Amino acid sequence: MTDAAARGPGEERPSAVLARVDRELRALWSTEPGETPKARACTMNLVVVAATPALAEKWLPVVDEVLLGTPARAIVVGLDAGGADGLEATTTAVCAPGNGGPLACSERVTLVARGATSAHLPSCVAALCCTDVPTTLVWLGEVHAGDATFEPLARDASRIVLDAAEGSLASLARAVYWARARAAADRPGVADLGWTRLAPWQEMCARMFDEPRLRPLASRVTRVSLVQASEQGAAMGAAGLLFVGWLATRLGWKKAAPSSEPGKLTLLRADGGPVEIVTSASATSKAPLHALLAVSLEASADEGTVRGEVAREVGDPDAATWRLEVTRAGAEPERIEQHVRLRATGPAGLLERTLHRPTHDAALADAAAWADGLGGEELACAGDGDNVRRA
Amino acid sequence: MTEPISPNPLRRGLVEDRTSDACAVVIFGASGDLTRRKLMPALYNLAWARSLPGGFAVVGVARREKTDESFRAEMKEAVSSFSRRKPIDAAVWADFERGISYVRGAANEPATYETLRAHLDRIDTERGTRKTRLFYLAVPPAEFGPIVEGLRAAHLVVPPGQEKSGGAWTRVVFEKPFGHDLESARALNDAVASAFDESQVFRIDHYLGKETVQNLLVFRFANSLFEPIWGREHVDHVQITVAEDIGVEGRGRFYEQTGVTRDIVENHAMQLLCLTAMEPPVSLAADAVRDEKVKVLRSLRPMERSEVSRSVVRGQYARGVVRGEDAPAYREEPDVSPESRVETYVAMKCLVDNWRWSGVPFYVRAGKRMARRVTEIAVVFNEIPHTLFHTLDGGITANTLAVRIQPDEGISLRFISKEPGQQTVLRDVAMDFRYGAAFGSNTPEAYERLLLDAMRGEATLFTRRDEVEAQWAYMDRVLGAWAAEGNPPPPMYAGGTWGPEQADDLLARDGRRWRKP
Repeated sequence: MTDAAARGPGEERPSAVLARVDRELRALWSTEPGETPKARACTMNLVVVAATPALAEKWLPVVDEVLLGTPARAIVVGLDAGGADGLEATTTAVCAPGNGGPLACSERVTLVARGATSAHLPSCVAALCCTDVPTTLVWLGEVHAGDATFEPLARDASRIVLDAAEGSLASLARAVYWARARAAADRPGVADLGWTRLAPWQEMCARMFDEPRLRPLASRVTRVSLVQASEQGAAMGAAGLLFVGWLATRLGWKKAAPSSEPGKLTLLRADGGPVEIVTSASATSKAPLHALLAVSLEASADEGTVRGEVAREVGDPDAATWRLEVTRAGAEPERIEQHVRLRATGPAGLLERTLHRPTHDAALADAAAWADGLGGEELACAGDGDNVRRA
Repeated sequence: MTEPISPNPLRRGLVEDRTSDACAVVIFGASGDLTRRKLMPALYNLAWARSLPGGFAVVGVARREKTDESFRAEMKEAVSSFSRRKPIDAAVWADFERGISYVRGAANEPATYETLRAHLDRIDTERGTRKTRLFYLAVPPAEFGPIVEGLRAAHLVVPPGQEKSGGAWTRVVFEKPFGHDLESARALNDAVASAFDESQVFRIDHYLGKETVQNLLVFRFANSLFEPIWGREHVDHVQITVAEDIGVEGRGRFYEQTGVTRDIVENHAMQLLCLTAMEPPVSLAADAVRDEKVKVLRSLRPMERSEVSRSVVRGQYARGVVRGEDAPAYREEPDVSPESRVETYVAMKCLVDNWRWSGVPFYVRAGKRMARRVTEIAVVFNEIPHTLFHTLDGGITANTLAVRIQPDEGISLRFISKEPGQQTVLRDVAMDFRYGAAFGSNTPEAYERLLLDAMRGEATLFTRRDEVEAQWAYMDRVLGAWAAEGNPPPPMYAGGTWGPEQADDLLARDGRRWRKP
């Protein structure tokens, strides 16, 4: 990585700052005698907008790590709406080792937009984006309807990435609604880092019904139990809500009357049968706040019953145990237990995996909209998750 | 009539992290180099990427006496040395090695299969693999038959009917070479068919697992720019090069029996030719893609014996200098006869007799100890019909699209451009796309993709029986012509060059010349 100069706040007009950035970007690709040649690589514009300069600063190493695997022009913006008007910029090349050949390098531009300049940020970003490559907008903050910064940036993007776990499910849902309101040809995809975190959990739950003889039981789920990492009594976080939303939209469940009992929710299956959602919390895990700690599904029909469970291991939050128990009348229960790895959930790995997913993900949009309608306050994690996990 | 099995609703829209069913991969030839260098590192990398199911198990089978612990230690050392992900991740390895075990046994001993069956039954209970097994035959072809028969006799092969209903499955993966001529390939296929349905058979050609090779289909059929000019109206000829700068590297005994034609041309080079020449398949389903490849093989103009001497050039490397160092002649290599007539180089002109490619020659060359290691497909387009520009060096070179398979995987398009300046000076330039630069350097190894595909039952990147036999049917005529002539000594070429002069003559007769990639 090479450093470049930083600008003083408010010293230059935005157009002068951008002209300087252009010059610095060109200069990055000149090679001094004896230097390893650099090859510029760019598969996308990666625009990261943080609600504060400090948050943007925190994301710089994340972005640099992503650029090593996904060459791009990264534009990392910190907003400081309350500061004196001005635009600051730095430029940097982020280079992956060239294995003896030229270094493959991405460009990273860091902007801090202060005061009224924040409102002009979209035009600054547009001026800096590479042409003819898609743009991904990573929005690290709340999405508000009519936001003068979010909307123009989102319109120019082919994909918007949010993090409901850090922001809110409502914010993710607003982005989904905003995107749905646009014409299909002009509609950016909406992705969510929290949704990517859930992917291994979804896969493991799907696996419970992969065997053809167990597939009919997917439409006969009677109980879902979720344990999240939080204090007992806390509202269910975005991860749990999105997970319930995913199950509900895949299996055709509808909301029934609100439950009077905290930590329980009753939904209706497509055949009218009830599905009980039971939530609990554990504060003893090393997993991040509101992360899923355990999920279990029970289903029952004439063919028999199935109980599947995915539970993070207590000493290693990146590992989980997957269990499946199938019971049939007159037969010994069949039990399978497998040890699985959830994948590192660091922000860089998560963003990279998110960028490699398809741009449009209807399952996420459906789940977010469904869960937003549910409202987290309806689903407090009343039970003692440690007891559930021990059981 | 049986009811169709409804799809799993929780799989709808699930785009990532689909692993295979919990299964046991049984590697015959577990002490061999392929297992150490390729298979185990590939499986570890899949575990690292969380592409393996929780109930995954690897069972090594080989003659040597080993314990589970010593086999695990050997494999850990192999993964540490050969995995593209270094250093080894302790947590991932700890999970992975729990599933590794070893069975001692020889291919021709029935007891091997009885022991193996008992071992796999135990794994079924412990790991939940439920009789779901992938047998990987990383052994010399002579052992294919006995192993297939041993598996069948020990009832280790689940019929495909159960597999189709989503129950346990058995698949078998064969390493190349698959036969040494058409007759032996057919015999081998018959032996395999006595125990396995064709849908259970996965014949590996690891070239098909390489990203650039897979990208060839995407490049051709996902871009509207190239397909309209991909044929006789715009293409002058195609050059396929599979060149290695190394010699036989201790495989003298093997090479004395095979030669480069059987080792490289019959499989890898023919597959590259098929992917270049094939028509768009109706879908990406395994049989749809393989049907189109077979059509290309059947369209290859069979070579009459008299034609072979005109259209095929053999060569054998003599002493030379490779990468700045003296290199011995082939005949000086260990386990090679000093009078050997085995070819280490072959160049041939193939004609595809179909509507698209009529009259467009495909020049294929493969060799050992050549000037550099490179595998590429170069599509050379027609020259311009009329020159407007004065050129100092006597002409404007034709546009060339080169797909580099290895190293530096990528695609480059050579075209003519004006040099900046007051005069119109033309220059040959390249638009260069490199995988490493565009997508980062951590591209999956071919074996990772192929192993995962075999576990998932996706056969597109594997060769089908009729494909293998069609490849042999074409090459048999060449091999037969050489045999009929008494297998004359091949012309020599100095190590570190691009092959014998006769190969240059092959193209010069057509007014063309080889690229120097």
